[in-house]
Amino acid sequence: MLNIALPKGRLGDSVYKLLDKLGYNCPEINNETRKLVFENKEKGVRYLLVKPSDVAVYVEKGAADIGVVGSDVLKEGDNDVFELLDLNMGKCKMCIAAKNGYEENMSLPLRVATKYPNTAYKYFNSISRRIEIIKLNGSIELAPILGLSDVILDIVETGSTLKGNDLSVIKDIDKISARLISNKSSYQFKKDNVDRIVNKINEIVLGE
Amino acid sequence: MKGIYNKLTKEEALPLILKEIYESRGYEKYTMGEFIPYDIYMENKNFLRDEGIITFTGANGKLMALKPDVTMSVVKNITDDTITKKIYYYENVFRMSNSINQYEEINQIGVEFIGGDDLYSSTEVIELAYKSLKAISDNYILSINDMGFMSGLIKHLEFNEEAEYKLLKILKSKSQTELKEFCKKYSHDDRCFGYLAKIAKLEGPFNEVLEGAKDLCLNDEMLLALDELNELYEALMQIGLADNIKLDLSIVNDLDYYNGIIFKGYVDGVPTAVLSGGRYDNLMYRLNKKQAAVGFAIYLSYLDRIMKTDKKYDAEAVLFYNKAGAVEVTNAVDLLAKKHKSVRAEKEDFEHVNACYKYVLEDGEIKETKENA
Repeated sequence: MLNIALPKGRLGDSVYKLLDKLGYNCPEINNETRKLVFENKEKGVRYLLVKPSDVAVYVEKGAADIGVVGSDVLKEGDNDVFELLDLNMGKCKMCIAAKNGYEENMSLPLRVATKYPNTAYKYFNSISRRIEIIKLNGSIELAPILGLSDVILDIVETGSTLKGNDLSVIKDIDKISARLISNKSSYQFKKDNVDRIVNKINEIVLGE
Repeated sequence: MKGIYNKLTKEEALPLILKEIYESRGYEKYTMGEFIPYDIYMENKNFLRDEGIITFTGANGKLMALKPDVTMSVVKNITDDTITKKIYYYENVFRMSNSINQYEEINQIGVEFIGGDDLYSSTEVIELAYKSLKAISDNYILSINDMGFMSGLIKHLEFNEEAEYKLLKILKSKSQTELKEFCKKYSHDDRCFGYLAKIAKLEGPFNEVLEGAKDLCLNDEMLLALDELNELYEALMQIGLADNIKLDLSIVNDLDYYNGIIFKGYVDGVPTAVLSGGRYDNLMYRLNKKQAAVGFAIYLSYLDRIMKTDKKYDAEAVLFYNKAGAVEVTNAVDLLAKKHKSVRAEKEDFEHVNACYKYVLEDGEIKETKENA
């Protein structure tokens, strides 16, 4: 049995569609239920639907053998897992954004609102900029508007949320995409199973 | 005393079984204190960066550390006139956990072979590692590599220290995307990504991987590493240890510490490697020791979950003594203990005590309760 952790939401839905196409289906998953675990004994797969930012933890700790996670989450958590494939899905960018017309004051530490404190520390350390991190869990865009922070560091997909809040990107710092990851021990003991899925996905991803 | 051995749980028996394995090859026990002067770690800055040492100020104002590792102090104890030394240890080490800022106590058992520089010494230590894994679980894998392969590559591609550190970190995750980014940033050689991507993927049965790696050698150091692996494999095959062994060229470890053969052991049901080791002549050299050395450690704490058997009963038998006197109760317990593995005396029939057999002490008589029938 292969345990697969999928992120709840749009990315998880499209990854499931892909796996469904490859023969790892589990029809129950499409029903409107509140269940979080779905199993297809015949195909030997069990899907776990978890919060996107938790996927890497489930895999690292072995509760799931493989999983799909955004590279933003993976870099932030620095989890000890194997990264097997770039799925070329869920593409977006990690950006620094500020209110339109914002001018940086270099004599003060930069106040950065973000869901990604480690990523922020790493980036601003690399350019030797003194910062003050304001860790938020959502609606990051609100922070510069209310003067809570100077800038935000967040993922940007289309940019419409930024636009709608009178913000704009001042710097792209990383490209983000969904990755297929595996637990290090599972990869030793269930290698054939894992490789089969990886190869099948690889054919499709490369084919497109 | 003999009977006691059979009564041990798997968790309690394992260190004894491992001790027996190591002592059978002439390894002696080494013990050390919990507190170590911080200075001894100053000479190895990668070690400091990665291990998260817990420090405190000693009574004389000297900076001290809670021991994060045993090997370093074993090495520190080696003098110039030591020719060979074979030791094993059973110790707790203390580190900062990397996920959240929190102290971690890890129970380790390990083996160090100081002064062994030939194929036999590597083979002996790998044999011990192999047998240890086998003692832990029926389903285990020992993954082997030779650091010479990676250090040859790094020298050929002329990476600086920062790049080297980053590369080793990426290889640990096998990430192709990160490798591509890395090559773009640090290498002018177009073939760089091609090489690294292949190396990250090369793992599996020894002979297959060796065959695949042949074309990837860029200099003598890499060739030498493959030769060494080949020799080792031949030896392991002939002594019948080739079954659960594989070769993984992406296994890497700190180059300041390890050179030559390195390995990691996995057992089914534990999410991370439970055994890690290799040849560390480089560490010896950095600490001004002329001997070669090879060894490994097993993280016993990681095995807790697979070793614990579910506890069904608090005791095999329980005796409720109500108003009986101390002497009377003691005698009754002694009597029952002849029949049962464990007897727990309780004043009343408390529901929290779970036992197979229940007895009541009434008017100086031990009576079985009806539930037993």
